[in-house]
Amino acid sequence: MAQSKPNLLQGTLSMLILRTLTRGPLHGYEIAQRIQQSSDEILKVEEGSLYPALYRMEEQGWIEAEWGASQNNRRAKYYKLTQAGRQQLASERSNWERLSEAVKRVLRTA
Amino acid sequence: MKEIKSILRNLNLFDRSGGPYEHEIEEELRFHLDMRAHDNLSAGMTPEEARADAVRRFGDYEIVKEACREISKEKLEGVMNTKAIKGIIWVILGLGLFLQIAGRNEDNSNAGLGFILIAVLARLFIFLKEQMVDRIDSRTNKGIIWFILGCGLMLRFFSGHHAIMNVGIFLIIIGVLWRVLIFLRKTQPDQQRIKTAEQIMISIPGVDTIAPEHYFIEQPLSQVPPHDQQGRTPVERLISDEE
Repeated sequence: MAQSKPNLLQGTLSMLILRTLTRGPLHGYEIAQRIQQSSDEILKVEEGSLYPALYRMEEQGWIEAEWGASQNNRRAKYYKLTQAGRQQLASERSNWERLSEAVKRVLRTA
Repeated sequence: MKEIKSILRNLNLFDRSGGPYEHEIEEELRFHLDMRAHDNLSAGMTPEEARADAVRRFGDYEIVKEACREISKEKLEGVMNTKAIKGIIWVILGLGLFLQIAGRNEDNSNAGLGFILIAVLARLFIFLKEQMVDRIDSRTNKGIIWFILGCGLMLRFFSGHHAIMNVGIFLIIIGVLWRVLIFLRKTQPDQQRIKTAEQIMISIPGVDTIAPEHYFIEQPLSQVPPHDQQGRTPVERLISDEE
């Protein structure tokens, strides 16, 4: 079988981004880093593909972007969670947990 | 205000460098590449290796930039369309008020009233679209609609006062408008979500590619992502982190 990159379920990346942003505003690079670190280096976001996802989420009103100064004093675009984003996270999280629980049941019993 | 600033910035008509969004997108993406290269250098790579690794991890820069540009363009067009519609509504409302107040005969006055009603309903339509339909789940939306319609019908048919009957009609109109919005939203495929999903690509070392719809069904047990001591997958671990 050819080895290549797997996909996760649709919407998973947005859920992970939203969850990561609950800790406060972050720029894109930090978001990728946090996801990777929080999952003990197991989840690696393909870094370029993070940005269209961030732009789309901003368009949907789940996050807001603002330019600010980074730690090394460079201009960076920071993303922060909106109220709509919190609601979306709650909804996606609930869906994920239901799905995950259902899969666990199948794996236990099948 | 922030939105207006963003529109003005993006409408830079004197920009001849290949597109109004280009500068900010490039600056953001280059910042990411530089940060990665910087971290690579700190990890002991040579400058060439650090840069090459940053580029490799990032993927196709031009494709990413183009995707971001398209989304920014769609967003701006959406905002402009809404603002244009709101502007037209204000003009209609102004015209209606003018005819209602300054109209010399009953026909003018009635026409003014009609314009005012159209403007109010159009504004209400946009408000419901922006504030309610997209933010409340479908079941709650439908519950509210039935409640409003019920109240409207009761007031319309069981009230003896003309003014209260009109309130009833108004509520019925709101309920119908709300339902139409939900119907329109359901019949249009959620293109934004599909596009986002297409760009999702999270790599899990050692796991073979499985189509998203078969990810959990066909994946052999041995290939399920590593679990921690509590039996949680990496995603579960991340979403429940720090709680």
